Amino acid sequence: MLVAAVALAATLTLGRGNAHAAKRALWVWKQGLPGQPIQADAAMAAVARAGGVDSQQLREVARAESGDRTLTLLSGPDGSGHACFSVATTGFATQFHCGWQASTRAILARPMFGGTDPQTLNRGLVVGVARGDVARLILTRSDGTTTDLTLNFWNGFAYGGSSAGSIPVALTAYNAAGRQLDRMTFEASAPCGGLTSAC
Amino acid sequence: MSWTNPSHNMGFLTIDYSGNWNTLTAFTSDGYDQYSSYSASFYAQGGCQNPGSLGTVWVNCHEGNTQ
Repeated sequence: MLVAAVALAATLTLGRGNAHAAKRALWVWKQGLPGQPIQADAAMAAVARAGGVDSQQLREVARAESGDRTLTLLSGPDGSGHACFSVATTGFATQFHCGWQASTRAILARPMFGGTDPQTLNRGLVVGVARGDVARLILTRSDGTTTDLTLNFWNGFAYGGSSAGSIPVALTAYNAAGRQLDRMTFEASAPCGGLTSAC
Repeated sequence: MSWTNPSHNMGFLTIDYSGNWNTLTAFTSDGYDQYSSYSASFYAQGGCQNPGSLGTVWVNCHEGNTQ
């Protein structure tokens, strides 16, 4: 669980100059790296090596499912033991990002979109992790409906949609007082048509 | 023109042997040098999908094949 209470109190008492440091403290996990240990597949191991992350210490922070597709948020330690994050699906992984704590964002999230043919977008998944002061996280779908996402033990979260109307288009994070902390929007289209040109 | 979120996000695009496609998103905040790895056992093709309506690729896109 994120060390929220103490760090949040620190945020309230520190001046503006120290506020950024206090927010970085909200990204600290008592257990060290967040997530359950997992066995890296070849794609995960390759991106870990490329990013200077120990592939023997990868962990699963959150996992989304849509039909037979999954999307996993991975954590792994850099040379200093700090958490780096990557996303992976079956046989496919993207590079680890370290030093993300310097961001002022309250959520770290990565989506995956997909479809059954090049003209169709009918699958959307998102995984991520929230800062310690995030108390509520709302996902907006492409049809305009919303749903509250549950934060797991490490403040990870996941969502999977398997229809054109259930594609994730936005995440909005709030603190316990109901104040909006962050909003992240996603745009997606099928490879042929939409934002891209016709094939 | 600058690279902005979300309209200029880069997608790592894969197409499997059944014709299904997937795009994992790389954000501007992730930096301009992007790396991904995929297995040819699952995917027939992979590459970067340029952000919509842009004629210029805004990141260095590296793809690795783990077989």
